[in-house]
Amino acid sequence: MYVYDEHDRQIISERVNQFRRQTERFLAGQLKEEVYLPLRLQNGLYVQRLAPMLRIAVPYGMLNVAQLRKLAHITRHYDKGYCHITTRQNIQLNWPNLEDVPDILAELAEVEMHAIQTSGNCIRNVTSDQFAGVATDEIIDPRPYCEIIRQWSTLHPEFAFLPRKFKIAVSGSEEDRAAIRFHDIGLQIVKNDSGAIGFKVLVGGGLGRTPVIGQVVREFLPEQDLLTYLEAIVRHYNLNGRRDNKYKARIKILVRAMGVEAYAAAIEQEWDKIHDSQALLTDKEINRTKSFFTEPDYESFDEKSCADTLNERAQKDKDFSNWLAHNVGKHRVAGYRTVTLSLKPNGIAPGDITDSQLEAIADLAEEYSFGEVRSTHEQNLVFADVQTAHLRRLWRALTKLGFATANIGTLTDMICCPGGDYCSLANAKSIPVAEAIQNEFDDLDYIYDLGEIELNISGCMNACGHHHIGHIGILGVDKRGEEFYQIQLGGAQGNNANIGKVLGPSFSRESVPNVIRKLLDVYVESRVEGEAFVETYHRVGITPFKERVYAKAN
Amino acid sequence: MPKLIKDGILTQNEWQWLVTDEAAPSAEALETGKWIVPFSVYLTLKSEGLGNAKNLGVWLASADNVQDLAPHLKDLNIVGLNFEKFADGRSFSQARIIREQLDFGGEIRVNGDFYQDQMFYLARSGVNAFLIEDDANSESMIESLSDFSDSYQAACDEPQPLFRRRV
Ligand code: SF4
Repeated sequence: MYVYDEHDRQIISERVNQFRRQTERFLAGQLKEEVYLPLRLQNGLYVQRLAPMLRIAVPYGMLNVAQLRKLAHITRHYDKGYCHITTRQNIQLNWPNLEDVPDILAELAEVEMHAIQTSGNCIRNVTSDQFAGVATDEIIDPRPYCEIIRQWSTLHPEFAFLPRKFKIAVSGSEEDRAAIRFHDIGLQIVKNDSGAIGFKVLVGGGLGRTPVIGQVVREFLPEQDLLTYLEAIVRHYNLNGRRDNKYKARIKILVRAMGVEAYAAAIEQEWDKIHDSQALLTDKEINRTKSFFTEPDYESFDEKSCADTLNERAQKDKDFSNWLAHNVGKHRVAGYRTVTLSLKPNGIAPGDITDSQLEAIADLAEEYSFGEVRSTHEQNLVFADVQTAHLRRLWRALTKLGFATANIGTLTDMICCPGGDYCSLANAKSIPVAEAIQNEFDDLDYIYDLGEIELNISGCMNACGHHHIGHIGILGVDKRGEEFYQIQLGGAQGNNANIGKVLGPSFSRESVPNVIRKLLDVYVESRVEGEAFVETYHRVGITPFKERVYAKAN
Repeated sequence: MPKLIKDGILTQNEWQWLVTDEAAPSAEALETGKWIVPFSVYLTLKSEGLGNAKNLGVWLASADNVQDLAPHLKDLNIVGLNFEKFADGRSFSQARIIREQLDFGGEIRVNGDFYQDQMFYLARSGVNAFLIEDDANSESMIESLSDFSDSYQAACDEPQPLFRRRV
């Protein structure tokens, strides 16, 4: 994991001091609310429905145990004892006091964390694959490049007042687990024919009101050119992105208006002016950053005998074997596995976690996974480096803590935004919908039979719950002041990215679980052997689903 | 009368900022005073053979294309940038292009709806003069110019990014 040096420490602590002075000026009435607003936003502080909300950056999802313990302390001391993992791998506090925020930021700085640019119209926290460094299909570890981007974008003087927010994601593996096609810039690490490392650059993806899949503007960008090229894209956007209408201000609208070819040509032209500037990356810097992401001290094991022992144990215990099948994943190194901690047990808002749970997770990470944890955009946590021989013990411990629900990748591993319970932009609540679905579908055997399904819920068009890319997407809408829910089908993240189609008229909250039930029935009746929900949907189309769900009305 | 912070100190402002719908300064007015005028006014005055670097400057609105300014920079000592709305960040890129790509060594002055907490970033982007309200707390504003003692990125104040300076 990246470790701060005195420069990083100084920049982050000066930022805390700056925000402390700004907050003092605001509280003393010397800074107008409208001027304080972008300042606090760029330090992660929203003012929400019930209280301020503080969004803490977790750069590309990496956390160490000192950070987890600090977060536990902060949620306990400054908040109500729990926090929330967001769909951009960040951590949110729901109830801090505005006056306390400078102190919270100072505490975070002690463990090399901050809340810089987690909101506002600026370059946001860069996100990546939760299995970076350990995935079996990895081409190159994306984290060093993420860190390089983090530093470049942090307090960038030119890009703090963009037309709209700006999100970058990096994937270093064959299968895209970072949803790079739905970011303002998506970077796919590739190697060219001569083995040189570079990036395929996608621009203009995004969810929200106008969901768009990003388009390729460059097939191969040499790694040294990363920052100059990003600078060209963001400068062009800063000058040319629309500022007259907030809903048309994202870069996707600019790319679409220009057409991707003209757009790509404009970027090359912009880049031409700066591509040999001092921002050109040096091998020294790339290697320096890479040196923070070296392998931990893996022990050597024989994979086959490890796998055999594990299988033997699994056969004797159905619960353990379910957990292995769903929450445990392959690892690049023999005798190791990844473990996903499900933050989606029945009855808990997806992604919520308490202070003492954070501490318990820190202890387990120390014992079983080299003291590191990752957050995922599906709002779960991951231990990336667990020995197979430790899995059973870890499973027991996680079961006690409530993180061993064996539902990863299934219907009940939902993505869900905070919605109307917390968010002032919401049209409708989303957490109670997630709960109702979890209650309706609590039979694990049925869930397993359904196989891989992604169900995503957003409380409004802003799409923080990624409803457009759920196989089943649920969107809260406002119908004459009442909360209703629109359902979409066929969305997908990953390499076969797709935007879901609206099923038809929206539903009341009470009827949502039943509608989902009918959709699943259609799938179960129509599927052919081995076909996943979304595959059946693409084969049979939306009509049979529509007919079943709206049968009575017809 | 607005005050001026230039190169980090409070100084006398000698230039008049002509707002968009004001009449262009006459030849006499140019003899006796110094004017920063909108780009279109600048072009008209120049076509009439009026004004020189000592008494005529130009200011750009956020929507103006900085590249159009390139052929004129050799005749200018001062370029203004106007913030219509503080959240409109185009001035940052405009300043940086004028400084770094068009190699302008004169004064870049901002006016309008910018605020104190943007000054550090503006200075990094190449702005060296700030026109502020008469009653503004200039001391506190000048302090904001040194909110940070180091930065990650290369910019106008520091041509090398931190990664090239790290030992
Ligand atoms: S999708 Fe809407 S309701 Fe949900 S968190 Fe985002 S803004 Fe709030």
